Amino acid sequence: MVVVIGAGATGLGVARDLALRGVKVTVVDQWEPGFGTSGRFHGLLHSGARYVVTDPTAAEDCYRENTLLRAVAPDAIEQTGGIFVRSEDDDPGFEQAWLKGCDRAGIPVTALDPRAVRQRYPDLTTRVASAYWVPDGVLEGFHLLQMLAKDVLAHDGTLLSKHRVTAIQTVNGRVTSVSAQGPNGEVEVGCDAVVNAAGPWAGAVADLFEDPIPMHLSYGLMILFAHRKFPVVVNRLKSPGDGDIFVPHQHVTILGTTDVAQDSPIAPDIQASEVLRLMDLGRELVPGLDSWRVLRAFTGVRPLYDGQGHAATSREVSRDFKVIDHQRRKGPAGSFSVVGGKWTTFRLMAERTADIVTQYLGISAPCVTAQVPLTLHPVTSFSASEPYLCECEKVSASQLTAIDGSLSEWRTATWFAMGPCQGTFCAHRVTALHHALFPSEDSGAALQDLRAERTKGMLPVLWGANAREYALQQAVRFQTLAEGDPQWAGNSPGLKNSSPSSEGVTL
Amino acid sequence: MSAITIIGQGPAALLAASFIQEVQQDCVIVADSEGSLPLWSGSFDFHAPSDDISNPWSLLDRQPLMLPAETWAFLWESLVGFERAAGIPVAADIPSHNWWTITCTGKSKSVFVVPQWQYVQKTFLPVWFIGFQGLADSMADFQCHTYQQQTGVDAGFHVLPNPTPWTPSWGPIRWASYMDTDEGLSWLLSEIQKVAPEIPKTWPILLPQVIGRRRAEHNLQALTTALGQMVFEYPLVTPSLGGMRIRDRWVWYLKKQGVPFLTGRAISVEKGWVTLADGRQWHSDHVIVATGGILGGGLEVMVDGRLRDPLRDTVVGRMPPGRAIDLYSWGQPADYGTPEMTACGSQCGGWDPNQDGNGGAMILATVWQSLCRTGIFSNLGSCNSERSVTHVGK
Amino acid sequence: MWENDDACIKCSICISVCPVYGQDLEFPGPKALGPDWFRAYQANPLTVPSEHVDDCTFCQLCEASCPVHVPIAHLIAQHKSLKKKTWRINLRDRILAHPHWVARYPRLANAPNFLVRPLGFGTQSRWPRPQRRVAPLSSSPQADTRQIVGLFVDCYSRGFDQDVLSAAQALLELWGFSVRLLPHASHCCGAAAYAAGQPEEGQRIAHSTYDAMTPGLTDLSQIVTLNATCDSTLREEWPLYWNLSLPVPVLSFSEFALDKAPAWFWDAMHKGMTARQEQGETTSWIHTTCRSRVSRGDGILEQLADKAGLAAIQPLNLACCGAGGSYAFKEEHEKTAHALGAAALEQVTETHDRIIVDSGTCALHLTQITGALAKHPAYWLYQRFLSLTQRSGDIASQEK
Repeated sequence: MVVVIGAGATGLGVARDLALRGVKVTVVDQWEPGFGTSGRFHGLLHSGARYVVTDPTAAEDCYRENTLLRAVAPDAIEQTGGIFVRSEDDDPGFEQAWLKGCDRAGIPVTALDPRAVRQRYPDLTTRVASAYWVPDGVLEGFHLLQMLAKDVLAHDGTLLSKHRVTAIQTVNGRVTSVSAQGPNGEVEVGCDAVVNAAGPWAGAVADLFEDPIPMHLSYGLMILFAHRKFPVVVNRLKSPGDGDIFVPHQHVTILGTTDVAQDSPIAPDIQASEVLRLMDLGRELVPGLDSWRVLRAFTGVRPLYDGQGHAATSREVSRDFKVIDHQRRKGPAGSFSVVGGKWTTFRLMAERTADIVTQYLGISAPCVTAQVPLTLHPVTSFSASEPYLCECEKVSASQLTAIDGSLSEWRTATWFAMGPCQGTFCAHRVTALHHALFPSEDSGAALQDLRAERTKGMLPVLWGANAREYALQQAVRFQTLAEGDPQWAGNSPGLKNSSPSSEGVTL
Repeated sequence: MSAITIIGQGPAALLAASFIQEVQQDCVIVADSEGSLPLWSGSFDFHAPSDDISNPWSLLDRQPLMLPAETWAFLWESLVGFERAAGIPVAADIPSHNWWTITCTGKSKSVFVVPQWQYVQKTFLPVWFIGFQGLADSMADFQCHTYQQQTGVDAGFHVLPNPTPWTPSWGPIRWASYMDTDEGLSWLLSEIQKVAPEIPKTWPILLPQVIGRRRAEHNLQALTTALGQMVFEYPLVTPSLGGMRIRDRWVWYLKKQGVPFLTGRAISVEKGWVTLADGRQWHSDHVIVATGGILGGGLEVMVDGRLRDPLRDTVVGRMPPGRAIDLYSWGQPADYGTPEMTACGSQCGGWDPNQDGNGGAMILATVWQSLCRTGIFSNLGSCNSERSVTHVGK
Repeated sequence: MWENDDACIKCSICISVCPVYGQDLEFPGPKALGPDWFRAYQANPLTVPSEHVDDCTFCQLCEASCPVHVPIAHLIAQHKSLKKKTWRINLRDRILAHPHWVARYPRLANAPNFLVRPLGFGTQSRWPRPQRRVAPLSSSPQADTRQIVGLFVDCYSRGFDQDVLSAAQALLELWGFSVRLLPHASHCCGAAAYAAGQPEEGQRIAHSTYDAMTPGLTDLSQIVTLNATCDSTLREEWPLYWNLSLPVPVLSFSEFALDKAPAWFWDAMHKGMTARQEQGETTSWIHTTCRSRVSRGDGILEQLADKAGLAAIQPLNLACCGAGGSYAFKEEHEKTAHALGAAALEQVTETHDRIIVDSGTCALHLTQITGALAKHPAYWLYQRFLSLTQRSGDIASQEK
């Protein structure tokens, strides 16, 4: 038995890889799959072109994995292709280095006529000096995570959500079990090996191995716009920096990203100044960006591994990954960490990690994840006999009830409440439906969590139509649905059988 | 062209126009989009923690506007009078207390002047909820559960199956169109009759607010008569039939009184000259700005957080860093700083119906404040009261 | 291409004003067909168009209601353009998108049912009857302003409403303006094609009309229109979407009359009514068409009727009469078109009442539904002027 800590792309990837090799696995996550970095990224399936100059190893890995994933997980990938655009303000010298780098990494690049590009994508700046096509793609992260999780379960694996690992037990210097705190108390899972795939929390888990590892955490800010404004990924052809990627993700467009070093695995509240800075950068590529209907902003924390000691900035830390066998350092036998890397390379990270773990376990089964396809479990298709509960993302009741999960899992699986209205008109409907299936859960609290989470993303980008949407949402919540707590909304405990204006009611 | 121009056509604008009509003065309404009435069920809220309506906010720390009790009474009576004249069924007497209404999620909310199609109660009583299977906002099981949990009072529910012509594209308006047909009404009656034996006779039956767009009162009365027990509606979210019925009737009433409803975007008001984007221009003695604040578009939030008043092309404020704002503290002071312009409704700052439950009172008080500025009510004592124009917002 | 095409806040106000949504139990409504569709279409250009998209009348009330100014109706028109049609419907819609062809040969409207029914033309809606050119009506002008006014001759007035056209021309001349009919031959503003989901064809038609008009524009003081749809197309679609800007202001006949008709004319309209005439006064029902409401607003026709001394002015409580240009002439729309207009029948109970409406097709439709004569205000104004000034009676008599 192997315990994998962390149900992000890496953890689920490792678990699936091991499960396919016949190893019994349990994945433990303090929240739910994709709560951390894997659920908070821009959705870009790198062609590798972004890193060819600054990080050639990561670039080559990305390209290889990109090609592989298209073949094994087509349901989670949209083969949009991408363009790299150099503006007249950008260094032409970098373009030459970049072309050489792509050539070295074997990444196919096609030169495009800048005039044709401007015509085809009228939102782009008119200052396009040169443009190239690369095989970038778009990765539907939540779908891929669900596919991985389902496959782990299908291969006799276990997923333990909402359990935070509190201790790793060892006997004679070998790990024997993992303790985790969950909603119903502490559980202990016996095991022969532990894989720390906790992303930004990897440092904290390594501390439980009593073998600290130098993590370099930084967070990236992304701004989400309501419509899909480009049919391809748009990259700025310059040394990788902030605000230089637009990713079309299903119906929306995501502008990324920034890079701010920090200590905590949870990003701080988003500051207005950061949002304005990202908008400033985005405007260099899309001058009319202010008129795009903004939806929300979010952050993801990059769990980079700084094996060489502290780099000056995290852009200089390699996007390469590393598998650490703690036994070779100060930790117990059977404890491993996998750190760094990219969403795009999660499968490769899982393969390398599983190679080392199976070797430790004395199992000789080869990795098959490069060949065995991952399929999306048939999503219940919309039945013509029911209305949409979420009109923005077109989600109906039967699509939701087919999913055995929490309200937030319903959300990430179907995208309800993630469209232009940000749940204004559907959150209460879906909550009611969820309550019908899971009457013992606190539906009121789940609704308030959903509302708070939506609000958190809307507030930093409160301008234009989004500000008006927010005003509408607040009025619907508090004036129409009485979701607030004041006395007049009828929620105070002291209210039973009192008239709304009777005396003796305190605020 | 007109003595008074009202910009906007939400509830504040319609109320202002009604007052002006009442004293036989000319006014013109100009708006570049529909008002907000179809968004709300049409109750006018006046949450008064204290029974003393002369100082309804005595227990709140914010007191946006102090009006004497007789002015409040006059304003509410006027509102009720206008609504009744327009064919909106509200009780003739203003309530002496707030009512509880029940939301589609089963919560109770305090309301003041409410059309009679909507269910209200003074204290929590047992009720029977009816939901429609193919109507997303009617969630009778959840509603019943919440109502029982929140009030400790007994309740029951039924969910009715869909009628034959139903398709998944039926939103509330579509349901209401169906209920306006004889076929719809008889479908509803027969479905309720099937479950009626289970419903205690003294409990009111509450239906989703889709029981007709034109014939709602007729339908509810017919059901009440046929079933021998009281039948009302509970409000849904948008589009709200309650607000639509009020809008349809109120706008029609004003049109019949001769109020022009011009379509166009007012781009400036200068020395009484109102200019529209299409070039039309006219002079008014007074301009009442009822453009709805941030939601209505009377205030634009810019990317950098500045708040712009598009009518005067001026920045009136800035969102605080982090932007965790109270939307309603931002707004225009009622007084625009020029003698011929005043703001009312959500365009005014200092009120927060989301927090205070006083949206109806906000409309009444700020419209009154605006009208007093026009001078056409100088013969009415309350306009002369010193207290009536004390703006003590934030 | 559009401004604010992604701004939708999902408030649903647009569906609360949509006349078709309130009537046709299958029509998905402007939110679903406009902004919701457009978002899906941007994400996937292969998104299948709605089978009901052509049931939109292009009245634009949705667009005018939108608080965030999404070009809802124009997005729906784009949606329509992507829908595949059968050859027969294609042919029919191509004919209806070119009303100026019909206006050139108005007798086409007399084609027997057995010929038009197979093409998908409706047979329940009354088809217009061609009117030959009416002899100029006015006598010598009462004043000379030395201004030349262009009178935009829309297809319908040209083919089927010559009495309205002549009345308008007579009034303008009476008020001291020289009148130039524009364009010289039958052309179309492009509205019909746009409404039928052929925006590019609309643009082509509009450009050709513009070219036909330009020679006569230089010395004009303004262009006066007789049809609300053409009026708003000239003033909105032309400059906003088709890059056509007329060098002279465009004004509806009603607004022009309110602004420019001389005081003596209004005096004359209030004087000289005999007791018999006063007794014979009937109710004047006013229907401001949807397109007129969308671009100018409600209440202008009432002002005009009031200024002209008409008694018993009553606005018709009607969101849309159902005519929708050529909408009511399509077999699949007849039911909805007549249901929409039915509300008028509940109000207009006397067939000798008059209905004042600023569009020829709406007038035809309302006349059919209510039995009362519906006509453009120019017609009613001139008729009243003639009867009060003891001129040669009724305009209708001059047709024959």
